[in-house]
Amino acid sequence: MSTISFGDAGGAAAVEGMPSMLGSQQPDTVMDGGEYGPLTIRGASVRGASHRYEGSPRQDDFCMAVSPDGHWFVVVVADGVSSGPRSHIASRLVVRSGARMVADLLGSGGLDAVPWDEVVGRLAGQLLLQARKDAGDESLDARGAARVMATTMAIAIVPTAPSDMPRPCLVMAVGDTSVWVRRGNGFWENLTGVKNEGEAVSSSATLALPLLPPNPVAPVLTSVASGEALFVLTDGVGDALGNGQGEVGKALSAMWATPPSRHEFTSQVDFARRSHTDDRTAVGIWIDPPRVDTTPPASTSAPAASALPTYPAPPTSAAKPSAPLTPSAPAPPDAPAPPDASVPPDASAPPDASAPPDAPAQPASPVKPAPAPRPVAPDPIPATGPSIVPGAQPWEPTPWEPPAWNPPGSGNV
Amino acid sequence: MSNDDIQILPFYLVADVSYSMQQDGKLDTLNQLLPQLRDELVRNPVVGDMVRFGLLDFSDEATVVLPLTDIRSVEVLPTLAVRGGTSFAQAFHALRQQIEVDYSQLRADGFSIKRTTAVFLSDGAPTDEEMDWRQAYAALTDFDKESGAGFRLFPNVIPIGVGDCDRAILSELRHRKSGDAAMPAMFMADGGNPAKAIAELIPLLIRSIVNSSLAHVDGDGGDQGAAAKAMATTLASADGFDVELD
Repeated sequence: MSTISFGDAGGAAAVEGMPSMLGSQQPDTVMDGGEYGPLTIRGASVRGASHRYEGSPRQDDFCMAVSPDGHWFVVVVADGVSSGPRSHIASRLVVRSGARMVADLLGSGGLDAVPWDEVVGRLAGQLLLQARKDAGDESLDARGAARVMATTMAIAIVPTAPSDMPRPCLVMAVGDTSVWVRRGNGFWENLTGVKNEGEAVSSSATLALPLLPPNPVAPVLTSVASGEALFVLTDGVGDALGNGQGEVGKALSAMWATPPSRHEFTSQVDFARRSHTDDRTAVGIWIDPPRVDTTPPASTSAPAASALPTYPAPPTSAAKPSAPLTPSAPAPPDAPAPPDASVPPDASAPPDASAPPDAPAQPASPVKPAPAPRPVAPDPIPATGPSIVPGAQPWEPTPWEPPAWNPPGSGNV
Repeated sequence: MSNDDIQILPFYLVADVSYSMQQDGKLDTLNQLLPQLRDELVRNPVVGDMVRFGLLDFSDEATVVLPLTDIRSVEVLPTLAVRGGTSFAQAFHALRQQIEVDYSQLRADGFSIKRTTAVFLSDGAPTDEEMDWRQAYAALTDFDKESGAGFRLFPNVIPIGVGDCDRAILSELRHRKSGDAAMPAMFMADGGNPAKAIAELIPLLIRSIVNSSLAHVDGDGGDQGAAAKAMATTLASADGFDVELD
């Protein structure tokens, strides 16, 4: 049940529904948030009234990561499509693997180091392998795999250095998961295109991995200033925003002028509105919002140094993204490098080969693990768009997600 | 107040009320359909919030019994009575006209409108000229996305045959016939319950609309996604039904 409604709530607002009884952990709601350098982050993924009513699992997911050098904050949001009975696994795989992959790539050379077509191709390859494994059918092609599991994806990259200048942020989307900026004047700017604009009949159809976009992946670069915020939204929120000027757009703009608490943010994402019963996910990144100073007074006994959060070094000019992608790259102030910045890269295994992607991305210890080098891509980026990368690592299901295949109609769809 | 993000699924039942419908309790079954559907939509508000239901009947001519409406709010539902022959052409003409009228109204109210679904229920074969009903059917369903020629608001058509219907002709009325948005045809023995079938069909349609569905880059952009297969699977398991889906 939703506690906040915008305009006409519809009868579905009162639906209590059922939990998703998958026999594995896919809770109704996940919530995250906190601060990282100048950024304040809020993330929430909630089941829609439709899945609650049916007792089926949330198919949206999100994951956040920071590049090993600490210069870049990465958010990946995914929306598993309902036609695939295992699409909740697809979205889980893509956000975790994608966040890790992009963060590692950024650590090896900034925005220019991300080969977007290859990223999309590798994730599609992982999905293909996962779908084959889940379905027990090694002959599935991408189209067949998409019938088992498919997901949209949007990625946003935000620099973490303190700066008085607008920051260059890079966003990329496959399908109808969208990225928006709440501008300083309160208006919404959609960076990834309004769905169904100009269509007589609206459609919920979308492009979804492992099917590949027909054209090369084109990330969008934008500048986000202090006091503004960037949001990555699944269509459960994005469709309600529409062009950003309607009832929902105005309400969310007012509520999200500054970061609400984690719980407030989550119940706002869970708003009720007639006919909007899809799963919802929103991750908001506020740049330099007004903050309450929580620094403990100097006179009190300070906690052990190891317990204090250590922000990684802000980007230096060496790590600054190069000219083609950054029309207004800020000149970051110098800052002392924390210890972990000098740790040499560990030349052992590539990131996907060992730990499952659900291992905690942010260890509790302030000493970060050494960045693993990304696998070298021997092939040039194809000019015709992404392609499935051969030899991509399959995603290993974790112990709490048995690789059982539930055919449609067996109850876990 | 703006509604431009509120989604509506138009759903029409186009019902044959030729004299033969009076036999074997077919008309009674039909008249029980609306109350049952209303109960189902009240029970499931996720679906009820989105569906607008319209009812047309046809024999020698077609009439609009109920324009698109939220039938949860209709206290006294209309009943149908038999009359005359079986003109498919009249039914198709009337449906096309009503889709345009209802669409304009919903558009004026600012809603976001989904592809219309029409269930075409008949127990017979057309009594009008084959060329006439085929032309009327083409005017209802033909649309070329490239050129924009034809009827852009074309419905997806699901034929339901009851009694001694002409299965071959009714199968031909399926629209669309291929791709991800392919629709099934259903045939029911006497005594079967079309209300149950339709009550099961609407949530399937809604589910494919509410939750993100899949568009194949090389397909015909099925806006119902895999709904057709799910419908066929579900309906095939319903008692007393044969389902055809290529």
